[in-house]
Amino acid sequence: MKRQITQANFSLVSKELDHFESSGLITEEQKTGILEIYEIKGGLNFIRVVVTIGAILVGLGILSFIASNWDGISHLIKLLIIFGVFGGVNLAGYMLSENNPKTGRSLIYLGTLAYGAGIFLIGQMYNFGGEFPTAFLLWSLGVLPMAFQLKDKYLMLFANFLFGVYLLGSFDQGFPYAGWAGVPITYLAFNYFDKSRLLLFFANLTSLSFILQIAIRYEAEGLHVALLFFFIGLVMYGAKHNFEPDIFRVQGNILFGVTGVILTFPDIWDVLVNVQSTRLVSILFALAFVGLLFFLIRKGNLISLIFVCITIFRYYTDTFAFLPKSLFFIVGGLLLLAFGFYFERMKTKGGTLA
Amino acid sequence: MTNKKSFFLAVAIPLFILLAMTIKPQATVLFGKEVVLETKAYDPTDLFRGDYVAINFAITDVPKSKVPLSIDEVYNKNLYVSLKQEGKYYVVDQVSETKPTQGVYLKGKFQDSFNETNSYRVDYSLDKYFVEQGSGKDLEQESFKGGLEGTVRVLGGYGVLTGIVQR
Repeated sequence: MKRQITQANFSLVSKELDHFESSGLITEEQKTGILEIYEIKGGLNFIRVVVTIGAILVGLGILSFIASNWDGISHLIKLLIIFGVFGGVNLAGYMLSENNPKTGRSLIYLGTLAYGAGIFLIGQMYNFGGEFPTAFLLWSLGVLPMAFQLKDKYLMLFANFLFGVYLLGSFDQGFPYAGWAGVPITYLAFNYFDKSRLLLFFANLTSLSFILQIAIRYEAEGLHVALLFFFIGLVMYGAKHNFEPDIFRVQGNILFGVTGVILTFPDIWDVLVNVQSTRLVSILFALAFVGLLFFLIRKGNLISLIFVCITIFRYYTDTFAFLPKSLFFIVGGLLLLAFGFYFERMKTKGGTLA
Repeated sequence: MTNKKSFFLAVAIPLFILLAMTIKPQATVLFGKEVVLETKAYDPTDLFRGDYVAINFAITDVPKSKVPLSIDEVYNKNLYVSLKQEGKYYVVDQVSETKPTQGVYLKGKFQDSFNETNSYRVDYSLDKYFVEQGSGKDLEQESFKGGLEGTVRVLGGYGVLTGIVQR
């Protein structure tokens, strides 16, 4: 099988090979031989984009029509219309799959939105109370069979997204037990859908949301939850493995970055130390955290730079006592300038520090 | 399984879920006992289900004296609330852990009350009545004038709110 790369990367490779050829490093046969290995990956297709947006617009229109609860037609007729639209677009989508596959697929997308509208219509008909997170669970459950049947990663992504809404929406509605089945399914799907990295990214997000729900279920303290996710983030970032390391590194980095900034707030520490010491503990944590971020920036990690900026900004907005703040920032800034200058001198002297 | 068969199965499963969702509430509307409850209301909006009248039934606040259980057995638990008719309206009679064998009762989740210390707040999932967009304001006005009353169909502890009218 040929190696698939994007159009832009292919142009780069062929430009560089032209350069190698003209400098006499390789022959023309070698160049053609190398270029034959590659195949340009299909990017966004214009027709596909147009019909998909069309289907999404119609679907949102149906959802909005149901939400309007227009009483010109009865609930029962509306339900029959939803059934008719759902059956109709799926049938049409199936029949078009041979000759007009893109339009056909978009009609099936439309069907999944009509199905969702049906769920909310039933919620309306019987005046279901509460926040109704079950709606998103059922919606996700209904999209899943079609996603697997068509091996369509975008449908799977939609099902995963809806499942995430269910998990996070269950905040005050009792424990989302479906997570025990749903989280493994997201990884199963990743495996089944040709190992799409996008699906792995969202599968990881789903797992993290579910872990958060478990922590809330056991009424864990904010500090413990933040520390737990901080360490999960560090492990995701630092663990050495060959299973899509890029995805885990980026997610881990964002996770420990966000929870790290949360842990710089003094109030969160009051379950561990007495109220007088929270400020000190949080500042010690902040120093260690920023130290870690600087260490990672030195290794070329740019996401850490963003979290250094957020942490500094968080301290800048923290207090309106401007004089101590100005002193703190000027002294801190001068220290960093001095350190940077020192490292730079080490480097120019042939040191290995940076 | 052929591709055609599995495709139609993938279409049938969502339809089946939709139909299954209607069984319990529709059975309750058809066969449940009708009870009338006192209520207060206001008018918010839900992104997917549209405008609704948020309803606070009198039976939502259950006095602690009617609950013969310790606080650990009550908080965040699903318990059965038996109702009895007093005049026109049904009111809370007693609370039990097990399903009552007779009478009208509703299953609800017990929580601490926001404002009263002598009662629990119970979630029966009967707090929303969906209306055509823009029409909730009228009911809200009515509600300020003198309260509304709601009719609920009850079957085996499960309630479906079927209507609200001016008292």
